[in-house]
Amino acid sequence: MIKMSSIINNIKVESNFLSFWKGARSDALQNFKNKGFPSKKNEAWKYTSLQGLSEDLLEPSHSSKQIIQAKKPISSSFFIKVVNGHIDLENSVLPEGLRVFDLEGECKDESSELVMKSLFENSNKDKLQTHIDINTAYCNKVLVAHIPKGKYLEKPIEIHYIHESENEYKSSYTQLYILQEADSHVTLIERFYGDTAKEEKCASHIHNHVVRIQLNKSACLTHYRLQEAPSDNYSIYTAHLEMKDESTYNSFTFCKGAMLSRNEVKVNINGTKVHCNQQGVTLGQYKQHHDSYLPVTHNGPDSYSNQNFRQLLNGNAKGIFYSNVLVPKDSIKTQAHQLNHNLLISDTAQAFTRPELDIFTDEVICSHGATVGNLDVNSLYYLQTRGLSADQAKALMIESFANELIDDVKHEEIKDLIKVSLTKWVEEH
Amino acid sequence: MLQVNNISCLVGEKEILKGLTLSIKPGEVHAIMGPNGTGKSTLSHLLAGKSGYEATSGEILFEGKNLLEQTIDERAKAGLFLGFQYPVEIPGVSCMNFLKSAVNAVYKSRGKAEMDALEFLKKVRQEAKKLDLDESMLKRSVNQGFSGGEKKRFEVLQMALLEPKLAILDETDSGLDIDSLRNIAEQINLTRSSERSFLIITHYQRLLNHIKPDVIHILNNGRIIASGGFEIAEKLESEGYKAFGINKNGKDD
Repeated sequence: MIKMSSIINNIKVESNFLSFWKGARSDALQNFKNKGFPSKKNEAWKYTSLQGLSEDLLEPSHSSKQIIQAKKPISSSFFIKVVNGHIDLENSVLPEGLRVFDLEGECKDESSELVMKSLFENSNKDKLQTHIDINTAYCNKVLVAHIPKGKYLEKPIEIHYIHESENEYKSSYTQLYILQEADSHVTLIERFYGDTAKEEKCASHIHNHVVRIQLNKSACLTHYRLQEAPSDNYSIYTAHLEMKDESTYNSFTFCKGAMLSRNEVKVNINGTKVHCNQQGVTLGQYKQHHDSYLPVTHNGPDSYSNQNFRQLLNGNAKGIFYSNVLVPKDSIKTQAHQLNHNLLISDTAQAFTRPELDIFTDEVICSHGATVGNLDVNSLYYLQTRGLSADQAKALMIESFANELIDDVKHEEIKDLIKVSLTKWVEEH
Repeated sequence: MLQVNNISCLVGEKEILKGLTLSIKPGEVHAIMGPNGTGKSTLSHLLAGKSGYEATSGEILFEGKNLLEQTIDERAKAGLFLGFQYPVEIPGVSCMNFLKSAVNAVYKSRGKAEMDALEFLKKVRQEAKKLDLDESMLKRSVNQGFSGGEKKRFEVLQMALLEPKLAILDETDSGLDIDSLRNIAEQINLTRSSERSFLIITHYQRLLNHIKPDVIHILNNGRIIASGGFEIAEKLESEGYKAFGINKNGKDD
């Protein structure tokens, strides 16, 4: 069990902190002190527990040295490098409107502070999200992007979160804020990777990452997330997305790495004619644990949300898809679709799938579905009769299962990156 | 080319083939006819190597080698092709990707150079055109959304690309309209050669009108009860199975 007192004692609320952040941090500390990490009694955390984590592991990493080579960013992108949670400004190219905000320093940028404050307060109403509180308590520098009205950012913003293994077991706490004003267009790529100190039976590093996004009228965000964190990492990802009238969000999550990953994306549709499309492929092997929690609330009529996720699970891996789409009263003409297909490659892998729809109004078009299955023996036989070995047939079917979704990725370079990573995964297993 | 000697086969706990003997020489076309449930498809799957089809006695030699010791893909690489009665739909596996993987696997085993993408595409287009197969279909998943006739034409396309030594065509004529039947038969005839043999499983004479077989066998109750020339098909068409002493239930009288 974590000794809260010891953690709290190590966190100082600096006097020069932004006034609102000072309060937020105090509240977060208090909340975390009272509740600790979410328990399995919290439905959103039914399948994943962080409660057994070592107390030492929660302390932030102070090392920002980077030995391993950063992966090559895709062509012509704004590139931001973050090593063990520390933003490496010297090796980053920031677009106009994106700033690094030092929470421990003096406020020199009121605009960024306002953006941050607004997005923070909007997303931090849920007192059950104590895994975010620990981030609020420890995170010192954040990335804040304020994209002006009508701005069409032609180059993607690409952020690499790199984990460099250390002698001590530590955590990284990072935050990203994006406020897109009306009619702005952005492509965001987040990549997570690094090296592994050694084969670990327990976590040696936690990356706790919080993303807060607001899309104003007709703003458009395309978001790619490639999680290939080292196998001794816990990757805790929490995103909060606020969508206004006619805004568009398209995302693709490729989740392959980490010992345990939590992919939580909470979408609040607060407008009409909103388009929210989330897709993703998860690959699990050994004893990996991948948990996707994807609640969507339609707080406005005539909007569209779609979730299509696939999990490929091998070894003793566990994959969780839990989505709850809420269509409250008066949100008429809502279209909401949820689909989750799971392929169990081994007999010992496990998939948990809950595409839930809560509808409190009429005049909606909603669907939800899920499948869990093994590789079809008749298909394998058919492929082998054409000269493919048993392994080749299996690999072709596994890759194809994932590629059915990956083929929807519109950015060709990202698609290629994902496909290469997938092929490597299939070949290794 | 193929020598099946006194083979018996269990599927589950049921003995389906009971001492079947069959010999096919290079270049020969054999047809097997028989009532439902007499073991025609069992023979085809036993030859192809399907799991769960267990030979309990006898032997099968393909080009002098023990076929039963070979894995499914080894048999395919050795030149055995099975055109399925019910081709399997494989969502997500695109036809082109599948065809390329299959052709390259077979070519490699035969010591032939793998075809580059352009060369392969050209060959596929050429063969698809002969079969009146719409090229756009090849962008779809294997057999997914194909009509019955399209599935059978896709089987023949695969056969043409894989260039087998022995092609077993299990009810390739079922689900085909008259024009499609004629077209497919023409393509099969085009691939006939002195080195390629066929084993055609069918219920009807109509396919055999287009592909004249050298030998026709009547299979009943797990073994061949009659063999001969085209007159067998004609007799069957006019008199039915009772002409061969088979009653309605497929039992010998």
